[in-house]
Amino acid sequence: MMGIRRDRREGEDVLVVSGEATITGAKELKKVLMEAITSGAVVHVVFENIAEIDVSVLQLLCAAHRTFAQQGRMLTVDCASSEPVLRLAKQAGFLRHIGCREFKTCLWAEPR
Amino acid sequence: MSDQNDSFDLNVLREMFRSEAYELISELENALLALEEAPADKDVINRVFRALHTVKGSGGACGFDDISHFAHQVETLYDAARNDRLQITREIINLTLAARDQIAALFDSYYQGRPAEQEVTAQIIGQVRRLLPADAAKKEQKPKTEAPAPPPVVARSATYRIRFKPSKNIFLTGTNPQNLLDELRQLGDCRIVAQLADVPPLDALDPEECHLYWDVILTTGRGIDAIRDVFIFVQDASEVKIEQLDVDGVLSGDEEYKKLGELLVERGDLSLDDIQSVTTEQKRFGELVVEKGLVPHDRVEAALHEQQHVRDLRQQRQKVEEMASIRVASTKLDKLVDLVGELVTVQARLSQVAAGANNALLLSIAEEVERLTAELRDNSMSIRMLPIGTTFSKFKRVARDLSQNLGKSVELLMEGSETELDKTVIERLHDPLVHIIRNCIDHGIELPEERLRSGKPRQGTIQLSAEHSGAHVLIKIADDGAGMNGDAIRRKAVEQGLIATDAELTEKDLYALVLLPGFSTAKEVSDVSGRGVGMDVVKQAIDALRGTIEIVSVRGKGTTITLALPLTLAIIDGFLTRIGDDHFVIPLSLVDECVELRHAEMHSSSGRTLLNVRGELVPYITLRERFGISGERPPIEQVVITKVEGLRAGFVVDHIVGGHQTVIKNLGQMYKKVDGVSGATILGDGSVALILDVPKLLQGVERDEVRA
Repeated sequence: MMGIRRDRREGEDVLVVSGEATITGAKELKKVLMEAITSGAVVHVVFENIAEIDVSVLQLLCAAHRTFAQQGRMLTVDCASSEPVLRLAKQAGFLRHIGCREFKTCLWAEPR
Repeated sequence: MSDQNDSFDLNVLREMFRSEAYELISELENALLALEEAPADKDVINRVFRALHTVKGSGGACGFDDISHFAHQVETLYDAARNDRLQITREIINLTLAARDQIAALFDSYYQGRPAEQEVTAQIIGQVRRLLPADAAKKEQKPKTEAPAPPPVVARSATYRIRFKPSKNIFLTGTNPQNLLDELRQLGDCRIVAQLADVPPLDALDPEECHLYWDVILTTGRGIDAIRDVFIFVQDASEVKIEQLDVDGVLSGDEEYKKLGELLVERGDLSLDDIQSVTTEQKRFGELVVEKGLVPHDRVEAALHEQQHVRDLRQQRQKVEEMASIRVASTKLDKLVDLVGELVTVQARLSQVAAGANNALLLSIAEEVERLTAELRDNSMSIRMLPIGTTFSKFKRVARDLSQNLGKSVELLMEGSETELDKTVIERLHDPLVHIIRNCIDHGIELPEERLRSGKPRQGTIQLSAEHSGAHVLIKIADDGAGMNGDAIRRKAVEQGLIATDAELTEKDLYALVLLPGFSTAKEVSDVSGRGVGMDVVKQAIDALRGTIEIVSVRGKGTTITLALPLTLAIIDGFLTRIGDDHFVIPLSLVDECVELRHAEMHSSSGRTLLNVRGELVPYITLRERFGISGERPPIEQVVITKVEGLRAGFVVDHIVGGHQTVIKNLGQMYKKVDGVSGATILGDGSVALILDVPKLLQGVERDEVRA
């Protein structure tokens, strides 16, 4: 089961995702992300104790990032600190050299 | 009859596999040592797995069933590790190193008739099973007949461009696209780029729908059907496009693979008109088309990955082609070099006859033969050249095992492994280098606590490097340990009567004392060193290779031992000179210049003979006196000025004959200890010329320099 916790840290929203981050919890994660958009703060997604993750969650984060960017808001996703997340991002071909230009930033752009 | 044929074939096969078998266990050892540095690195885990897998497959094919079975058992550990079911620990690495040694022993028992302890195999297998995760251990216990590992597929592999666009409902059907990508990855070398352009904004996204698709470049030897099989259960609802890229050898050419623009057009991501609209601008093409919104960045990313994949593939193929070689028994090579040596001698004779015959045609033929002989000589010598890395890599294990035994932490760094040296020199260099490295670890590198106390990093370093320097290769072994204690060396040398109490020694001579037989300053005799046997044996071995050893040491900072070795022991370019009726050869690589010496110009200062060469005083040795050759000295003599390790010194001879291809012949046992001569060669007229051991002759001059 996917765990989602919403913390406030130094005036910013932190969504802590844990456990099984898979399609089964994707709807719930979308709901929390939609709420975060309206909160008007910077949102950080961090992963803790991820037991499993699939590409539906990465797709969701990508969609959320686009929406945040369109509204001039900031969403960060800390993939690097969770080994399963980073491994999936690499193996499913999400990491890239050229990031999204249209949204100025890209969740998956590797530092040059 | 058929049985006899089978056994003959198997023996032939085994003989052909012999070198490869030892290369494989050497690769296994190197991979394990690399794994020790990075135990979580999947590439290195795969490297170990591949080495074991090939031992298993090729060993099985050659009828080494026990080795094949053993390798299979050990390989299971790495299969579990690469599938994240097992974490590589020091215990696993130690066990695999022991397994590697046992595989080597088993090969030795087949090839060299040395008995191997069979019970070790069972012990190691027992330990492997204990370390395996439960599921893998269970699987291993089931008896099964496994086909031998497939041969490497590089030669028959093909590269494919795959676009996989799953149906939107794929998540709901319970299929995880990631599993399909993983299956593709298992087929071969694979690059995957997720295409994200179709992902809608969050509010429009149904998170249970898939809007992702993937571009994949895959090189595999398993054929297109194996790729289709991956998608067999999703192909009806998904879009799967597979194109083979390397049709007609397009990936094997030397020219640059397709430009990014060409690739984007070929992949259907960009039109030719679009290309024309941007090619006038001075910017990177990829950035430009993305900026102008002509192609989504993901598509450019995929095309760039394809370019890179093909570049890597070409590089790999080039490497394989470079490595494509035939194995020849080294005795055949030795025979070839001997014959070339004879040919060089005959050619010298032909040139000499032609020079005296006053026949233009004969002279031109002799010149042609000389040119071809020189080329043949260089080619045959180059066949014998091997990169020194083949020897270097063996020392990692020596350093690892010894430092662990002594409770020290030592890193062995290597540089210049690609430097080539004659095969015989490399073979004879192994033991001296092992001894030096053992000495560095035992006496040089301090214990970790001691190092920390003196402000050094906990881990000691030994730097092993090789580089070319003229006709020599310099091998340096430098440690950052405690350095040598000059006072202790002097005291010991005086005690042992090797030097007088008031002897004046240069630093170089002082450290050179450790190379004398029986010399050791170690207070305790250890298993490793300290018996005073060793460094003198090292010196003898290096002398026998016509090389030199130099030791530089700074107390508290470390010691550097430099070995200067000739590139080859067979044929060198020499400089032929004459004194009376005797000929002497000076290695051409050491010759700096030649000047004339008139009797009036001879100077003597403090018993040394010096020559003024354009204002510089150069010491010289009169070889006629040095070798006690009788007869009249000509009024104008020739001085061949040589340069060794920065010191210039001259050798006075009667006449200079000129360049001479010198086939080196060893002096017999009787003359082995003659100082100043390293060998002999046969001249065109059948007479013998001695080859001067210039560094030895110059040692005397150097000592004089210091005293002056």
